[in-house]
Amino acid sequence: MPSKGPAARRWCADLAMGARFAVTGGREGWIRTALTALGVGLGVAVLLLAAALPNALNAAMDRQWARATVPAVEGTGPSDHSLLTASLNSAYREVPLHGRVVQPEGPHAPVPPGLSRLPGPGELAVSPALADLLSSPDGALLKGRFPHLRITAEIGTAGLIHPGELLFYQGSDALRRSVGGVERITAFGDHGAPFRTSPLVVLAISVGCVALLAPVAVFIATAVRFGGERRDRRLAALRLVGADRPTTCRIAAGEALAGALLGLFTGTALFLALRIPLSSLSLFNLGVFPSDVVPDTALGALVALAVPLGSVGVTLFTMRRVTVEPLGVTRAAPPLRRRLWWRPLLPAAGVALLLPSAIGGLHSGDAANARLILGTSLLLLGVAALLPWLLEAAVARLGRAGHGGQSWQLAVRRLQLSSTAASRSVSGITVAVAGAIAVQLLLSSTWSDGLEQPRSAAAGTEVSTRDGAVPAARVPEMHARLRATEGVLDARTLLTGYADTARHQQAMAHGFSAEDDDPEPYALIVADCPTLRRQAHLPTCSDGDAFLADDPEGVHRTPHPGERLALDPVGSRADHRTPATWTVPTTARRVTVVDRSLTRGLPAPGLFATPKALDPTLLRRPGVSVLLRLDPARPDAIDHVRNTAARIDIRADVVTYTTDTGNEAVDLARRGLTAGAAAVLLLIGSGLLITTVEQLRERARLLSALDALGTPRALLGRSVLWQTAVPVALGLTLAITCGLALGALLVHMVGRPLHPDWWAILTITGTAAAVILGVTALSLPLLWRLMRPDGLRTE
Amino acid sequence: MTPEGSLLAAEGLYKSYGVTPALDGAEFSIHPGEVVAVMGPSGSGKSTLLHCLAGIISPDSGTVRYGPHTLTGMSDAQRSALRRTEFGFVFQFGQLVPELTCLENVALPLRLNGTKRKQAEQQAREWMERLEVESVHGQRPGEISGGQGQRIAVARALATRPRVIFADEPTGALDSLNGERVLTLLTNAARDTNAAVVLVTHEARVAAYSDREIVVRDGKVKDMLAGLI
Repeated sequence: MPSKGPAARRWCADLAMGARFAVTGGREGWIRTALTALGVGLGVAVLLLAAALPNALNAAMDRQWARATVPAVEGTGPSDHSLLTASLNSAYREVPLHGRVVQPEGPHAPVPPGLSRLPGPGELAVSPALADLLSSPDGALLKGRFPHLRITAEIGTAGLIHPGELLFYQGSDALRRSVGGVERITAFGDHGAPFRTSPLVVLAISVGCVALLAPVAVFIATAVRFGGERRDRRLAALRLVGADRPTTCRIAAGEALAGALLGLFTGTALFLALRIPLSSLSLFNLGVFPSDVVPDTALGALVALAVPLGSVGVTLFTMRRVTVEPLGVTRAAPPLRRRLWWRPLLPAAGVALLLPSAIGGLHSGDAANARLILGTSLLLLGVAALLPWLLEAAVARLGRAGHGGQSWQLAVRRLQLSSTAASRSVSGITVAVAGAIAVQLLLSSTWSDGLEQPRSAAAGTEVSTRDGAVPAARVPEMHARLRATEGVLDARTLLTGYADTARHQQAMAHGFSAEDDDPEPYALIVADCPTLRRQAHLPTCSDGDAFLADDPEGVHRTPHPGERLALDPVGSRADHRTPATWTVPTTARRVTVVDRSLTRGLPAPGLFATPKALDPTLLRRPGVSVLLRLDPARPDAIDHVRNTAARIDIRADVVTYTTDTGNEAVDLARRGLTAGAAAVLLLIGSGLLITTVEQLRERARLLSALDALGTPRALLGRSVLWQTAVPVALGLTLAITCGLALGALLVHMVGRPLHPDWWAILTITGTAAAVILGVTALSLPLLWRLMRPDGLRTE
Repeated sequence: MTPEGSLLAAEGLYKSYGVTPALDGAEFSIHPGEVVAVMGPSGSGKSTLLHCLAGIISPDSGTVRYGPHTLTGMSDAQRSALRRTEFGFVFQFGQLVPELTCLENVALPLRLNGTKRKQAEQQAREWMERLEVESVHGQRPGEISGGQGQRIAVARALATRPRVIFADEPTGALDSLNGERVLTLLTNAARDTNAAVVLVTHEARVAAYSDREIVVRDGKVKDMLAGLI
C-alpha cells in the first residue's frame, strides 16, 4: 500500500504540471486562464464584499450609536456631568450638513466621539471633509454659516459615519434648557446591547449575492470551456505517453486550480480597490470607512479555501463523465432531455409565498419579510430554470415554422441542435435583470407617488423656528433679514401657536380636569391677509379679521365665535406664567382651508387671525415660518438663505420644496440598479462571445467547406447575429416580463400606483441590443478568418 | 494553350506555402462529362491543385480558365458566385452542416442560389432518392452512417446540376463497399448530367472509376495517357 507521502507528492506534482499548462498552453490557454481568473475574481470580490457587509453595517450602526445622546433624567437640573446641546440639520449645495451646538454645564460634561475636548464658545470642531470644504474656494459661501467662529479641532474618524461626512460641533454659552430643541444630556453613546445585523439582513444579502453570482458563475462556466479542443488534445497526448486516468484528471484539475488561484488574487485586489470608492458613497445617511469593510474572518477564510478547493472538486467531478483516451477525448454525456415537471414548481412556490402579502397587504415582522424575500428569490430562480426549456421550445417552433432566409435557418437549427450554452448564458440575465427591474419598479412607484405632493405644491423654501426661539417681537426683523437675502424674490411670514379653551385651562389649574378628558388644543395661525390667503379660501380679508377653519371631516376641533381661549398654555406653563387669554371675535367667519398638501409643515389650523385681530406677542412661544420664493436663476440662493437663517438662530430649519428634484438616495439606488443590470448584460455578452468564438473554432473545417460551396460571408455573419439575438431577446423578454410582473406585485403589496421606469427598461434593452451587435461584430473577424480554404487542407 | 473543347483548364500554376512549393508549373484540363482522377502521394499538391482549379485559392502565378472565364482574374465574390452556380464539391468527411437535416443540407446550395425553400427541398429530395438516401431526409448528419453521409454530400454537390464536380478523397473515410457505392453513384450521376469530375485520390481502386488519370508529384503534373504535359 503506498504511503501518504508519495501520494501527496504525486498530487502536488500533477497539480503543478496542470498549473504550468494553464500558463504555457498557448494563446488559448492564456486566454482561458485570464477569463477564468476574471470570472473567479468577480465572484470572489462579490463574496468578499458580501462577507464584509455585515461588519460594515455593524460598524456604521456602531458609529451612529456612538454619537447618540443619552438624555438626563427628566426633571434633573444641571450637574458636573451634564451638557446642554441642540442638534442641527442643514445642507450645503444639497450635501447634508449635520452639527451640534454644545454647552458644558460642568467640568465633566460628556465629550462627543472623535473629540478630545468640547469646543468652547466661539470655537468650532469640524470633520476633515468639512475642513477641506471650508478651506477650498467651493466652501467660500459656507463660511458665512459660521460667522465669528474659529476652527480649533478636527473630528476624528471615531466620531464620523463616513469619510465624506460634513459634521461640526459648535461651542456655545447661550443655550437655555427651556428653549425648544435644547436638551440636557449626560453621555454620548448607546450603552445598551450593541447593534448586530439581523438574520433577515443576512438573508437579504445572501439573496443579493445569489442574484449577483448567478451571471458570474455562468461566465466562469463559459470561460473554462474556452480552448477546450486544444486542452482535450493535450490530455489525449498525455495519455498516449503513459499518464493514467487519475493523473490526467489531476492535471486537468491543476489547470483549473491555476485559474482559480489567479482569480482569488484578482478578486482580493478588486475587493481592496472597490473599498475606496465605496467609502465615498452615502446612502440613507449610512456610509462606510474603508477600514470598516473587512470580511468576517471565518467567511473570508471560507472564500479563500472554497474557491481553489471548489475548482479542483468541480473539475474532478466533471472529469468523471469524460473519458480521456490516447487517441482523443469522449464525453459520456447522454443526450440531455430536459425535464419540465420540476421547473414550474419553483415559480409556483414563489407565487404561493407572495400571494398572502399580495391579497392581505404587507405585514411587518421577520417572518413576513423572510417569506417575501424567499418568494421573490424562488420566483426569479424559477423563471431562470424555465428559460432553457422555453428557449428549446421556442427554437423548435421557429424551426418548424420554416420562415426566414438561409441565415435564419442556420441560426435556428444551430440553436435547436445545442441551445444549452446559450440558455446557460442567458439564464444569468433573467435572474439579475428581472430582479433589477422589479426593485426599480418598486422604487419608481414608491418615489413617484411621493413626488405627487411636491409637484402640486408651489416650489418654495421655508425657514422656520420653533418654541419661541425667535419671539414674536423679533419676527419683523427676521422677516426683513430673510427678505433682504441674496436671491430671495418674495417672503411671507406667519406665526403658529396653540390655544385651549380658557375654561379647560382653569379647570386644569384647579386640578379638576382628568387626563382622559384632555381635549386637543386648537392650532392657530397669525399672518397678514395675503399670507392667510395662501392657507385658506378667504372671500374678503382686512387686518382685524379672524376666520375659523371649516373642517368638513370633523377631524380637527375649531373654536366658535365669542369663545374665550388661553393662548400657548404649554409654553406659558414652562415659563411659569399664566397663559394670555383671547376671545374669538364674534365676527369670525368660517372658511375652508386650501389643499393641505400646499401647507405641509404647518399644523392643521383651527383658527386664522390677522395681527390686528390677535396680537402675536400674546403667543409666548410661537413658531415662526417664513415662506420664501427664490430666484430660480440663482442656484446659490438657498445657501444664502441658510446662512441668514443660521445667523438669526442657529437652530432654524430651512426646508426646500422643489418640483423637479427627487430623493437623491433613491435616485442613486435606481441608477445603480440600471447600471448593475447593464453590467450583468455586458458580462453575459462576454460569455456569449466566448461561446460563439468557441463554436466557430470547432467548426473551422465546416466553415471552409461552406466557403468552398460559395456561401457568402454576409450570410454566415447574419447567422451569427441571429444565433446571439434569439436567446438574448428571449431571455430579455422573459426578464422584463417577469420583472414587471414581480414589481407590479410588490407595488400592489405596498398599495402604491404603478409607475414603471420606462427609461431604465429602455436602457437595459438598448444594452442588450448593443451586446447582440457587439458579440456579432467581435465574432466576425474570426469568422472571416475561418472561412478560408486553409481549413480544407488535411496535410 | 488551353486544349480544345476543354471545360476547365489550368496553365503554369505555381503556388507555395511559405518556402514550401505546393504547385510548380502545374497544367490541367478536363472536358464536359469527363472524370479525371488526380493521384499522388501525401503532400504532393493534389488538394492544392483542386483548390486552385475550383477558385477556392488563387495561385501565385499561372491561369485557370473555365469556359470563357479566367478564374485567376476574378474577384473573391465572383469566384464564390461561380462555385455556387457551376461547381459542386464533395469532401473526405462530407462536411455537412451538423445542425441542418440531411434534406436541408442537400437543399443548401440551391437556397444559396436563391431558390425558394419548397422548390429547393423538392429538388433535393429527388437527388436523395437517386442516391438512395431519401429515407434519412429528416435526420441530422450526426444520426446517420458515414456512407449515408457521403451520399448526402454527393447529392448536395449534384443538386445545383453543376458543370464541374470537385471531389477530394470522397471515399477516404469509408469502407471499401460503401466507397464503391458512393463512387458508382457519383460518376453515374455526373455522366448523366454531363458534368466533369475532378477526383482527388491516392487509391488506385478509386482512380479506376475515372476516364483519365493524372499524377501530381512535387507540384508537377503528369498525365498518365499523354506523358508529361
